[in-house]
Amino acid sequence: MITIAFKKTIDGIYVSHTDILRCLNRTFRRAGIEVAYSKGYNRHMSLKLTQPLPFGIASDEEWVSCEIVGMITTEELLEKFNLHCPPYLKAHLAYKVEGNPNLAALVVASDYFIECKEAIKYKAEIEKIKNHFEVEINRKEEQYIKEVSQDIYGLAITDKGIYFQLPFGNKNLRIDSVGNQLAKNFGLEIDNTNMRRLHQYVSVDNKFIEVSKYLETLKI
Amino acid sequence: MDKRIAKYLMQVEKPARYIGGEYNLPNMDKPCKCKFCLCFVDIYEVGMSNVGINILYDILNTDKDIVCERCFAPWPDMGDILRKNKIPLGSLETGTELRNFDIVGFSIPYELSYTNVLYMMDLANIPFRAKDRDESYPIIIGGGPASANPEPFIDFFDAFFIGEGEETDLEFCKLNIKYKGNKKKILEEASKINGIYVPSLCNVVAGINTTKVVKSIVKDLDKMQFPRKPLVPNMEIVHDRGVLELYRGCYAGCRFCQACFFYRPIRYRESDTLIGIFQDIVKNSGYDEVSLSSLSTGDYENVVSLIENMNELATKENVALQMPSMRLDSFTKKLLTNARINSLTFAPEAGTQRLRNVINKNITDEDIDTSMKIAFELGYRTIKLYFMLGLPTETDEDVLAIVDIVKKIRKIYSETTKRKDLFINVSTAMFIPKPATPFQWVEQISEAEMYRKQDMLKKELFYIKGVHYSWHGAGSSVLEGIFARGDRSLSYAIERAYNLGCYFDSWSEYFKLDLWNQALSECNVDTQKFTGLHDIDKPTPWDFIDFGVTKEYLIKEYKKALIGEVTPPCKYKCNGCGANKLGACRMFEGEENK
Repeated sequence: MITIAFKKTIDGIYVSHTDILRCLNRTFRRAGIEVAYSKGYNRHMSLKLTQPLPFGIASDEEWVSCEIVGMITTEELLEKFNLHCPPYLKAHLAYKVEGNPNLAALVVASDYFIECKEAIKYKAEIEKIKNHFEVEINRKEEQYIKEVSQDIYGLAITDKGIYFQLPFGNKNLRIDSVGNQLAKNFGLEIDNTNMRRLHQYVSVDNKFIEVSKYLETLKI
Repeated sequence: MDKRIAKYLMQVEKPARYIGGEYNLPNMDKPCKCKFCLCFVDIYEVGMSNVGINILYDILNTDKDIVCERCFAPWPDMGDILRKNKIPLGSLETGTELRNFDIVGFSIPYELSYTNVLYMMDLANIPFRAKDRDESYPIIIGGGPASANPEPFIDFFDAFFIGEGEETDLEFCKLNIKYKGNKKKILEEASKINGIYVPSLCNVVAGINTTKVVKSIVKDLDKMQFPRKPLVPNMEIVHDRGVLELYRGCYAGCRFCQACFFYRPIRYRESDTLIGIFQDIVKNSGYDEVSLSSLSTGDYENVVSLIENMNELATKENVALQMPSMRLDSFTKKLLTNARINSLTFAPEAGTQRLRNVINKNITDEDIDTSMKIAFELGYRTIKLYFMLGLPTETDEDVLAIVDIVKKIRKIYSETTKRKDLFINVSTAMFIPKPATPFQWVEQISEAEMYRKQDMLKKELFYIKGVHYSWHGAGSSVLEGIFARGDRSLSYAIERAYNLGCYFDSWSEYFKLDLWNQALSECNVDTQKFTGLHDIDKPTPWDFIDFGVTKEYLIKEYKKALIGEVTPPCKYKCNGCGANKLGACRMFEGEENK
C-alpha cells in the first residue's frame, strides 16, 4: 500500500470531498500510476481518503492510500502525480507501507489554523473557551447547541491568527463550527476560507503522533 | 476564476460551478486578436456536458488569434449576489465582463431556455434587442439545436448560426479580426457565409423572413477537429465522462424527431480516427468511462467490430464504454460487453405497432421481445422505457397499449430469469411538433388532453409491481410547442415573461406557468395559432432555412404518416430526403457507388 500526503489549496477548497476522490482517480490514471481496482461488479479504483474537510477549508495535509500495481518508487510517484494533478493539489510525501494503515479509522486529531489578525486583541477572552464554549451545530437534519470546551485539545493565539487542535475521526469537532462561533462571539471576520488544516494525528500509546511520523515507523 | 466573486462563493450552492481552472484548460493568456465568449444558457453541470460547447471551445482556442472563454448561466443564488453587488456577469476563466468581449455567442439547446438568454444579458448589462446595442457592445450571436426556428427570439441577436458551428464560428471570428470595430461590415460579410443569418439584412414580408439561409454543415467530419484533451471538470457534471462522437445525422427517420432531420446528411468518423481519439481522451483526461455518442449509436456501420476493438483497449485501461442511444432493433449482446451499467434504456415511443408506423419508429413488437430477453439474460434488472403521448392519430387504445408492453416485459423477465424483481421506469414526454420534421404541421394536443392521457397511464401503471411512472410537465410542453413553431411576434412575450420573473424555465422548481400565461396574454399572443394544425400550403416562419432535407420530402413523409405507411431507415436505401445537396451524405455516396 502507498500512502500519499497532498495539499489542497486555492480553488480546491471549493471542490467537495467526493469530487476530490474523483479528481485523484483521474490524476492517477493520467499519470499512468497503476492503482489496484476493486473486484466487484462496478469496478472502481480503490482509494482510501482520511475524513472529509468541510467546504472552503484549505489543507496542508490530506492523506490518500491505495494499492499500486507494479513497481514505482515513491519519488517517481510524487513526480508523476504532481505533473498530472490539477493546480490546486500537490503531493509532497509518499510512504510504502505493509498492509492498509487504515488512516480513516486511526486519525484522532487535527491541527488547524484560522487566519485572523484581530484575534490577538481578544486573546484573554478567547483563551477562556478552554473552560466553557458553546457552539451552534448546524446539520441538515438538526440544529443544536453543544458544549465543546473539553474537545479543544490545543489552542494558541498569535498576531496572525488562532491555532487549534481538535478531535477528528469518530469523535469530531469541526473547525468551521468553532471558527464561525468565534466570529459570532467576538465579531471577528472569519469564514471557512480563512481556515486551514495543518496536520493530522494518530494515537499511539495514548500519545498523538503526526501521521507522517507514524508512517515512517511502518515504511518498507 | 472570476476574482470578483471569490468572496461570495461560500454563500452559494455548489461553488465549484464558478471556479473554472479545469485540467487541460488552454492558455488564456496568449496574445489574441479576437476574444470570444461562449455562453451556455444553463448551469455549468449541464453546459459542460454539451458536446457542441466542448468542440467549439477546443476549435476556437486552437486558433492562434482567438481566445475563447466560457460563461454558464449562474444559478439564481449566484445571480442574486451578482445583482445585489452590482457585479456584471463575467467569463468563467478570467472574469472578463461579457460586454468586453468582441463576440458573445449563446448556445441555445431548447425552447425553454430562451429567457435565460435574457437573464444572462441582463446580468451582463447588455441591452436585450440588437437594435438597442451600438458599436460599443460585442456582437451577440446565437446558435445551437434551437436554431431550427430562431424567429421567436431573433430580435435579441445580431446574427444567428443555423446548423453546425465548427467552421462558421471560425470564419466569423476571422471577419471580426479583419473588420474589427466595424460591426456593420462584419455582419454584411458574415451574411454571405452559409449558415449565418443576419436578421437586420433580411427581407421581411408580413412578419416572415424571405431571405434564404442555407444550414451549415461540416462536410468532412472525419477530418474535423474533436477535443482530444477535453476539459476535466472539478465537480460532477451531468454526463461526467469522456465523449466520442461517432457520426452525425440519423438513418432512422422517426417523423417526430427534429435531430434526425436537422443533423442530416449522415457523416462519419471512421473507425481508425475514433480509436485514435478514444486513446487520446483516455490518456489526457483520466476518464474511466467513455460514451460513444451519436443519435443512434447501434446504427454505426461496423459498430460491432468498432466496439470489439475499443473493448480491447478499454479493458486494458479499465475504461467502461457507454452507449447512450441504442435503438431496440440495433441491440445485441456484443454491444453490451464491458458496459458497467445497471440499467438499460429503450425508447419504443408508442404503445402499438400502428402508431409506431405512423411515427416511423421502425421497431416491432418482436424487436422489443428479443432485446428484453437479451438484456435479462445478461443480468439487467432495471429497464427504462421512454414513450411519447399526444402523437398524431393517437387513440386511448394506443396509450393503454403502453401498459400492455410493460406487462409483457415483466412476463419475459420472469420466464427468462424465473425471478420477479424487475424494476421498470416508464417515462412519458409530450409530443411537440417541431420545425424541420414531417410533423411540423400537425396539431399539438391541449394541456387538458395531456393531463387526461397522463392520468390514464398513472391509474393503470400504479397497480403493477416494480413499475415507476414519471411524466413531463404539460404546461411546459405547451409552452415549448408555442415557441417551437413561433414567429417574431413572440419576442415581446419572451421579454415580458422574463421581466415578470421567468427564467430557468426548464427547471421545474423555477417554471412559472402563471407568469408565462400572463405574459402571453398581455402581449395578445394567440397560442392556438402556433400549437394548432398548420396548413401545408402556407409559409412557416422557418421556411427561409434550407435544412437540406426538402419541404417536398417532409410533406411526402407527413402524408405517409397519416395513412400509417413506413419509410425504411436510409441505411438500407437512400430515401432521397435531399440532405445530400449540402454535401457528403454517406448513404447517398453509397447509392452512387452501387
